[in-house]
Amino acid sequence: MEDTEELSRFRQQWQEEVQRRRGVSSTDDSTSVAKGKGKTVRRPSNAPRPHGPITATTVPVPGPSSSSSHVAPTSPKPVPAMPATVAAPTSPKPVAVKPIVPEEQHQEHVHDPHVRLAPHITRAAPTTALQHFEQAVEKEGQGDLGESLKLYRKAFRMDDAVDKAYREKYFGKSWKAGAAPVMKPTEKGKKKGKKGEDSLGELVKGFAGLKIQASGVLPAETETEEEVLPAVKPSPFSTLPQEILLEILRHVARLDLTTFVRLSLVCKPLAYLVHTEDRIWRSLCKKRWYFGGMQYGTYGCDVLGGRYVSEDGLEEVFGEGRVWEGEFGDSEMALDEVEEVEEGQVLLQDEKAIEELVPKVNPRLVPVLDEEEMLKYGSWRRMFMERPRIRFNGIYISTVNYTRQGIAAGSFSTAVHIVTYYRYIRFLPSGQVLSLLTTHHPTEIVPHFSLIQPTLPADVSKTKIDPAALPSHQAEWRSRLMTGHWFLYPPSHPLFPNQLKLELCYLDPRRRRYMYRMRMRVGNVEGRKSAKLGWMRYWSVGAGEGAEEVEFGGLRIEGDKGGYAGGGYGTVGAREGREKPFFFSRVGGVEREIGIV
Amino acid sequence: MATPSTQATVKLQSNDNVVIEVERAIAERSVLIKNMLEDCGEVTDAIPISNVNESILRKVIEWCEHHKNDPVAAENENDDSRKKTTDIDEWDQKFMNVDQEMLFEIILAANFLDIKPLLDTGCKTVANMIKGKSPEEIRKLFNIQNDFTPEEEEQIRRENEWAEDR
Repeated sequence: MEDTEELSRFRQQWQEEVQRRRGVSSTDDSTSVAKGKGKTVRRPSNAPRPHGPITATTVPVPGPSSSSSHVAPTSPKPVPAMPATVAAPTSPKPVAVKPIVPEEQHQEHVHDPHVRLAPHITRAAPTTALQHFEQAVEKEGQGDLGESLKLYRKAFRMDDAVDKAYREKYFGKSWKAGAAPVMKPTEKGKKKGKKGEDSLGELVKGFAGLKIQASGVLPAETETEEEVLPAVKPSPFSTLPQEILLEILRHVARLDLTTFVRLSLVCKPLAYLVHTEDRIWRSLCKKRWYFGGMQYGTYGCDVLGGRYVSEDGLEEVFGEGRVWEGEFGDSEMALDEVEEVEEGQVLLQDEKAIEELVPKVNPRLVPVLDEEEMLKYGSWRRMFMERPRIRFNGIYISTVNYTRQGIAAGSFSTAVHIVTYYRYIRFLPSGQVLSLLTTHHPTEIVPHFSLIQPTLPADVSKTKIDPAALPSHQAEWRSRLMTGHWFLYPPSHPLFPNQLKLELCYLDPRRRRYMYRMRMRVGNVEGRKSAKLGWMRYWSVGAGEGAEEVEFGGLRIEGDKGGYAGGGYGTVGAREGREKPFFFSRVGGVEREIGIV
Repeated sequence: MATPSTQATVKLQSNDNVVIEVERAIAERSVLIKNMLEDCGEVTDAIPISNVNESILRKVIEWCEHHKNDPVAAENENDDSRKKTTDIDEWDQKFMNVDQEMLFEIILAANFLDIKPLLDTGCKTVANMIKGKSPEEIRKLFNIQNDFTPEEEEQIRRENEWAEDR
């Protein structure tokens, strides 16, 4: 792969350089920092050096040259040997720094504020699309949006996939890693993830066998005689037999997960129980609004929320919604197969593998056994924390901001409209999903959105909420309400493990001409588990024979950078190029409704 | 000699030597006593309940009287049906509205006498007291010593941050 080539090339260069410098400089932190990233980021800044004389004369303006990245652009190019002239910051020798190495440069503007502000008159005019793009990024970082836009445009005109090349070049690693089903979003989180867990495991193990102490008694002086002191009342918890304490914890876990986990902060013996009592975690996993409620591989209901009825337990008798769904391609299963195989060609690059895949059991329908999954995570507790799941106790919201150029009002000013719209999604363990795209703020939507009858009749006029009784804006957004169904691909799925599939249509029959399909990735965000849905694919299918299938723009993107891909066509009142990931919000009303509180 | 039903009452003796006579059906809410009576047939002497004092024993008997007509759940399904109900009925709530010391003594007595539904109600009551409280409030409520070093506490807090969001 390019990454590893680059890495080894860099390593070699680096080693050579280190050899050359050995004896001259003892420590070279700046290079080692970049080591792991597969690219060099050298920052001989004009910041005060720890030691060695500063020979400013030979160091030019800390312009772009001062932070050069020796990554070969994606298009093959002669890679000049790393110039020995690039100064290592700790080098005591005066070293000449070449001011311009335009072909191989990239501005690490994020890291060094000086660099950001530096003029770059010295920079040669960009020639390739990627260079245009790089300069555009740089300009953007400097706040020169006009110039930046021009450069972006140029870059895209030269190569409409330049953003991908850019990403590949600078974020190649993290981007790919991010595509893994279980991801840790922040570096901070990643670091403490594995290591922290191990040391925490050790720590908690050390709590085994400890007794709950009454406060007022210092552990050091807890000799039995001391406890007789009338002033110190023993904690009732310390007198309880273990099995009763566990029974209480079980009830707390059942009542409120948050408090149950909080008990681990009360004292060591409770921390031990919370962390090690996997039977409690098992029963939590099995709950209907945790993994017990996950739909894997098949939709739990039809697109309008009606149940799939089965008379003999084998064949489905389609509900009204199902019949209607039929208009969008008779066999949903078959359609999905095609889709999976199509994407498989991209992902697997191996036709044989695909051929083998098709006649076998649909990988989507592989049953998911919690017990089997648990083994992958090591414990029920870890599984509870890390296995992707859909959350039912609130609403997922995606907020999109964009600006639109207005019509020039006079010669002096041009209006710029800032538009904000929201996508709301609420999942139900029944398999149904409600969705809304609107410009109304969450404070207007959430309280009502959470109270909509979970199962909606097919006809909007028959819903229990009378549109006429609603304030006008609610009536307005109600007509835009979408209903649908969802499932998760099984964790063993070769292409989209643990990803979410959605099918949506308008609740209002008059608007039901398209079926909107989405595939999303479930992710964590800053310690919040499964709180994020990143777009993977978004497309629509029209009703009727030979209806066209519309892929919404370049949305075949990795979820994390949702909305990043450019180029797309306006649809559903939104431009998919702008789509942002969904973030989960707990909603009290929803929690009460599903009985989680 | 005769079937167990002939014996109408049994005597229970608390650990402070008070003998209380109760209907046999009521006493048999306690699996411990029930098994004992089944094993020994007629018992005319007072049965010593060594771990329970008079006031708690009376309290427990009060509970048994009120619940004497509850269907006795079979051992196995017992677990499941118990798990499903998180609510405590009104009478039980009032019954459990006692000071903390007594609450825990009732729990211990229920455990000793093997009265599962009462034990359950007691545990649920305690769980309800805990629910929604902060670690510090829980410590205060139950007089528990914080035995963490600040570092340990921080480490555990970080690991469990996610649960505040569920």
